Amino acid sequence: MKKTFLKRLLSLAVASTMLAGCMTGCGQEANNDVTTESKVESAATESTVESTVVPEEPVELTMWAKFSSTELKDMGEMEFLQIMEENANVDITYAHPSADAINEQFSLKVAGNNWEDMVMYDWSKYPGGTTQAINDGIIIDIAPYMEEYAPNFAAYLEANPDIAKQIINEEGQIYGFPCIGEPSSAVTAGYSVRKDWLDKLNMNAPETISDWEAMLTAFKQQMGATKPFTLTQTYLFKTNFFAGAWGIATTYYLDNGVVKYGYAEPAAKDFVATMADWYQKGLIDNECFGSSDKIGRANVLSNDSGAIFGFVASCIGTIMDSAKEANPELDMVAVQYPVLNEGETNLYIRRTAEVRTEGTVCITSKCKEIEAAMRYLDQFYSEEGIIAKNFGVEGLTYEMVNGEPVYTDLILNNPDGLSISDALTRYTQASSPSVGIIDGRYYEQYYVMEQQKDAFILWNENSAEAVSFLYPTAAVTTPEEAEELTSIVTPLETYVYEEVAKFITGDRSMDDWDNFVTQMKSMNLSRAIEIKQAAYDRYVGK
Amino acid sequence: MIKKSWQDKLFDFCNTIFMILIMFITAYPLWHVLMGSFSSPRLLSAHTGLLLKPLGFYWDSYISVFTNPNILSGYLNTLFVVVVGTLSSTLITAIGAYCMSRKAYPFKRTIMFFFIFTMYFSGGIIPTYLLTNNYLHMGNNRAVLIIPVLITTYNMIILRSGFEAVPDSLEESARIDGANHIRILFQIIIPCAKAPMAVIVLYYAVSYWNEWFRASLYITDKSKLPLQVILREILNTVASGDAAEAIALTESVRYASIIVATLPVLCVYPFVQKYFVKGTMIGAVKG
Amino acid sequence: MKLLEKKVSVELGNRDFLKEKRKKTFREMKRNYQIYILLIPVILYFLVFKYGPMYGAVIAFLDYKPAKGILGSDWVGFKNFITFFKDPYFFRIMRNTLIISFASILVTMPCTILFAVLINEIANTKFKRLVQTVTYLPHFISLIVICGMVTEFCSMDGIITSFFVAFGMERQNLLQNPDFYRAIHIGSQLWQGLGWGTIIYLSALSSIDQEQYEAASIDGAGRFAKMRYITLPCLIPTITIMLIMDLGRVMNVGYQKNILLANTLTLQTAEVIDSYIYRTGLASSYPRFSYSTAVGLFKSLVNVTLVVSANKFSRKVQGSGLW
Repeated sequence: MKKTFLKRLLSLAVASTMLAGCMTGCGQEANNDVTTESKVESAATESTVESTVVPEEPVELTMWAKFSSTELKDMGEMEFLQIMEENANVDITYAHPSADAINEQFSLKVAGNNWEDMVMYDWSKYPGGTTQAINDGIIIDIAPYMEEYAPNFAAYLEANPDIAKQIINEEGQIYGFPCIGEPSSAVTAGYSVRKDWLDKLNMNAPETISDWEAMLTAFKQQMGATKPFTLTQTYLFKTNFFAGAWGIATTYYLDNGVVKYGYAEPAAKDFVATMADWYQKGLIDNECFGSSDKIGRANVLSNDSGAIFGFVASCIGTIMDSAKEANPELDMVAVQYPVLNEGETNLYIRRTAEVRTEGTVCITSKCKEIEAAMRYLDQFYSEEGIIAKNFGVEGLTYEMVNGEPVYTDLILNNPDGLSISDALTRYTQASSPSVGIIDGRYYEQYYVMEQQKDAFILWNENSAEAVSFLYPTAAVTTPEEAEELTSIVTPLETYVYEEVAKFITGDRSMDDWDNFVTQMKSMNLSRAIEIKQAAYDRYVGK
Repeated sequence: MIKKSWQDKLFDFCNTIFMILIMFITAYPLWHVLMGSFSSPRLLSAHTGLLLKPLGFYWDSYISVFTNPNILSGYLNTLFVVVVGTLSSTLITAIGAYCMSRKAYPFKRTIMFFFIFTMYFSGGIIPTYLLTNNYLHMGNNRAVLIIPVLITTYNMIILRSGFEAVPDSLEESARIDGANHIRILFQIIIPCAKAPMAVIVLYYAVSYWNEWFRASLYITDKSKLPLQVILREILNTVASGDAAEAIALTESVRYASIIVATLPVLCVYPFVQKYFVKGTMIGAVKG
Repeated sequence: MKLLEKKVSVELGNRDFLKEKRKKTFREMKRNYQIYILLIPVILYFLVFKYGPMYGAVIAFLDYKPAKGILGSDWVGFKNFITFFKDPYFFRIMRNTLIISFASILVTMPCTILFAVLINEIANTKFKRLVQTVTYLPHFISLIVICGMVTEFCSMDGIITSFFVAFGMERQNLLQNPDFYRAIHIGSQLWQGLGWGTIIYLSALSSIDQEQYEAASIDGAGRFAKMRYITLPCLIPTITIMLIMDLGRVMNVGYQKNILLANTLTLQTAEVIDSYIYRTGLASSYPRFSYSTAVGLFKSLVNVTLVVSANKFSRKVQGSGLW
């Protein structure tokens, strides 16, 4: 009995080991195949490329970056990048994380301390921000090498001190090569309204709050709109740009260099009262709390709504596009951010900071070839580099017409049926957050519809002025302050949003507003503002 | 044959009506998804309410999914993981469940608690990753989708209950015949517990089939990714950039991917169903 | 003196007793040596992959900075836990978590069991298989899609809303009313999981000896009598195990459904521990590793307490439990 048992146990063990071996073995084999494959591929590309530089061995570098493509295996297959690699005499091997788990994978890299030479990521998500990343020894401070190895980037920073301020920290360190958007194209979202309805009602596009009220009332009563103004809860009280008409924001903002919190200001009472009034009159979508951008667009398309907040491409673009089949009469027009009285300006707009945190490439401490990496990345800030990033390869994806780059049909009327957006993603990095400077001219050609072009220009009118009002995202707190801020803000914001929601729906009477403010202040709001102020002062003091 | 009374017939009738009702209610989600997957994205964008038939007839969502170069490798990888994984998991879980279902022996309760404790406490993503990837070097390998998750304690408990239900008399008569534990396990217990075995085979198979998060974390080589990850990537690619079409396309591509991911499971299920039929135990013990 | 002697002899008696017990234990172990050998791979697996990573739980007691690693980060003791307990919303999220979980068990368990019993009663095998396959389907549809449908159906002119309006309810968006959130949460869970949940019970039902039913019929028992006296009692062991295990997941109400279905108006009844941590964790630019690990540990502790108590209770009442 004993013998048979042990025998059987042995055979079981052998079977299991074989199974295990098969699993790991299969994995390994495939692994080897892939590495040899890519080696062969890169060798092939190298030999077909003509180098104008003195032919020495290209420096090998590695980069970790977000990249999704159904066609291309990795970023290295993009034509314009191949040319840039060639120019800098480097050969980059890419590693791409899964789009779903990118944040987790990044955390794991931090925990395991295994880095490629260059990492493209939203480094502001690193605990403590980019400064902490430098202090922790993960990325290097490139400031000492700027003059020598990154002349283009250095020149750009000198010529644009406002932008440089967002990149160079208090100690004069520079964390890496960010994605920069030109100030003229900073605003890509705003309010738009059904033009065909305005025409029918013989009304002009609304400018003031009273214009809006009249228009929405007309939409409701004469056009039968059940949700004249469709919003999501975010745009109703978390970032409601209507507050700008009263001179406040629904979050932190600047008043002559002093940081204030909108909901604690006296003007907030009038603002919320107006919103509450509109909501209870049915002028604002009563189902906005559970709504989403998608539902909002569906509301416009099904004639339930006449006004919406959204982006040039995803809102105006999608609606107009779907309307071709679903609602051919529909027409949208962008309107300026509303004001209280004619002639005023609303500075609370959806403006993206020039320095985008996503798409920043940092050189890690694991990189041995700092010069090569910097020369490569510096290209993106040169004139040729800017055009390459935004327009691709001359002759293939753009032609120079009268000194201006114009996309070819490969992008605008792609023979494989790719949409403009997909074509841009395939051949350029104009619309993807990645290292380099975003050239405003690409927008002019990307926004194909007239409505989009007009919207873009209109919404960017006050972009420069708004800088003095909007709290700069580049003003970062120190890690200790960040922790304290989080522990205050977590319950505070929950409270504020819930109560404001109640005021708007009428569950809580506006007479109670003062109690609300008192309660808000008792939750340590002043300390939160203090921290924000300190961060701002440090940012400005440079 | 015992004749059915009128009460029985009434009960059967009501039951049938009830079942049909439930079926309509529970079938709706899949129907909605199926219809949506064939609908034109533009019309889908504008649509609210029940979706009972496709809006326009539109193949492109499926084309997006199937022309992805990684879809085939996705299917093959998942197939591999499901087959090998289910077999291995079932085997080792059965061994564990068998031991836990035998009559009392020293430390049995302690060992059981040892297993159950892990259902409630775990180290978290980071330590597990460091262990698997850095110390055991299992990263980027299909084995990482199987070995670290070989046993789900929950399943082991279910199987244990199933094994416990097998009458002792069977085990005793086998012992008298001189069988050792392995023989008892494979020749008596498992055949007599086909229903619970079928349950955990189903549970493991489905969980291996649905796996995506761990794969997206550990595996960086696209050719080794399982199906679900590929499908999610398709969704993400389609949604990238704020292009008008992309946003609309996302919805119907999402539906198409669900169909693509779910259909194979639906085909397999009937094979497992037969084990849930009444009376699998008849004839096992006579007297 | 006599007392001391008595004590000593009792002590000696105890020692002998323990010696005997140990000898007996070794004997038992030798007899069952095969089982221990079979258990080796299983225990090994658990040690490596389940207990191994547990050292990470210590993050809850540190001020964890990924760059410093676990050994390099400072020890803060219970600070993270205290921060959690002191959060103004602590009671609310605890309350919501417990209510939603317990209510969920109270509703879904009986429904699933009943449904399984009814399926089992279907005579026609083909129809039975059809019912099973169809009712399993929602389990495979991703939560995003299910919640999209729920949002649709509960909107002001959604079909569920209209259904209740016919019964006299005021027309409103159901998802914006905090009083309805829990019902919707549990209802959608039932919708998605009812069919799939019957698997385990159907498997148990299939192992009930047919002869018992036949004997009962001969004795004149009707459908319901059979259910009461044969079916349900045979299911009790399975039900007990499932109940104990479900109790062990009471604190784990996930965040996904909440993020998809809840909104600012319903947070008072909808916000659970996981969704609060998730929502606020994303909003801040400061990932709180230690904090969320601490909360996770706390949840596990509550779960384990519930399971241990339930198990003890079950052993007392029934004689057997999870272990």
